[in-house]
Amino acid sequence: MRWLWLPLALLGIAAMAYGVHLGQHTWVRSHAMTLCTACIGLE
Amino acid sequence: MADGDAQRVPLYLRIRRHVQLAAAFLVNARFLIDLRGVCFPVLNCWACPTAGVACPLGALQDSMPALRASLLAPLYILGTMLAASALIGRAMCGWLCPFGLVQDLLGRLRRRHWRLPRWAGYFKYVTLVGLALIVPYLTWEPWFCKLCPQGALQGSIFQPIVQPQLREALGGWWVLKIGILVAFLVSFVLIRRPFCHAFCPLGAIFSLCNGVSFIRMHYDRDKCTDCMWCVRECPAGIDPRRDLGSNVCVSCMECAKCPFGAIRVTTALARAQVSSGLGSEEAEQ
Repeated sequence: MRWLWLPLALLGIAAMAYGVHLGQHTWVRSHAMTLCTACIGLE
Repeated sequence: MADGDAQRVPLYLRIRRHVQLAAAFLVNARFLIDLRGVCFPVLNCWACPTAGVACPLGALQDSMPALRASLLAPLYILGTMLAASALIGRAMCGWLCPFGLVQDLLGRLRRRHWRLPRWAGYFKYVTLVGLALIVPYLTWEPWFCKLCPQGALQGSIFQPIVQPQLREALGGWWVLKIGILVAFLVSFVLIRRPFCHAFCPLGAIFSLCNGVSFIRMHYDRDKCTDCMWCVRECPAGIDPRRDLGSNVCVSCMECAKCPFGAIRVTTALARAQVSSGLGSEEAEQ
């Protein structure tokens, strides 16, 4: 268990990088730029 | 720490409150830098008028329609959370989360606190799987966000102030959200970090790597005098002798100020192993 953090961190970084490659960060940004009415309880 | 054997507290353990305040400011400093494409792994509502980063939980729930329609996993969001938790475990909760800061500050209003039972810590996995994954997957609605007290604190209060036209849309759901927020704020005074302990889905994700992360805590049973100092001081209201690195430990590292040096911060590269559990005798190799 001592080194488990290393493959987990590498897997996370690889997933993050591939997500960026797929453009998912722009999708996240577009959602963050839109006001989430559900988050603030508007009907 | 009046004891003659008191350990000298490292500087980094004395600046946690400053780090929390700085983090709360920086993730809400859109007027300085707009990083809303970045999923910063703390609970910080992106509906807040000043939020400068994206909430990973909000993004995770909003990705469910894409996951259902095209089996496209939110790799960017999941990878960010996995990498962060593998490196520092739940230290995000203890050091960086603005909602954790709110709980810490309100918890200081009272000297004695109730303690949640240890098993209550498993309820946050129900919140994660139910409200943040399954229900949003089935309904395409961010149901955790709809009930989130952090969203109420940051968005529900401030958005209608800065955007008066939104006030017409306030209704029963808004009242419910504010009610949930008030209930949690009261509980923060009475109980130490109840939201982190039993409700936070983000904490549930991070806790999966809490015991095996690069940064970890070490408990030395031989140095422990059972003075209960760590139990009294723990901002999460747990018994660090038993629950260090467990799913209910927020890795705030306050217990590492132990007057007898029985608990300390270490890394996976150190030769000592993480100890969790009373009576375990994990010697340095």
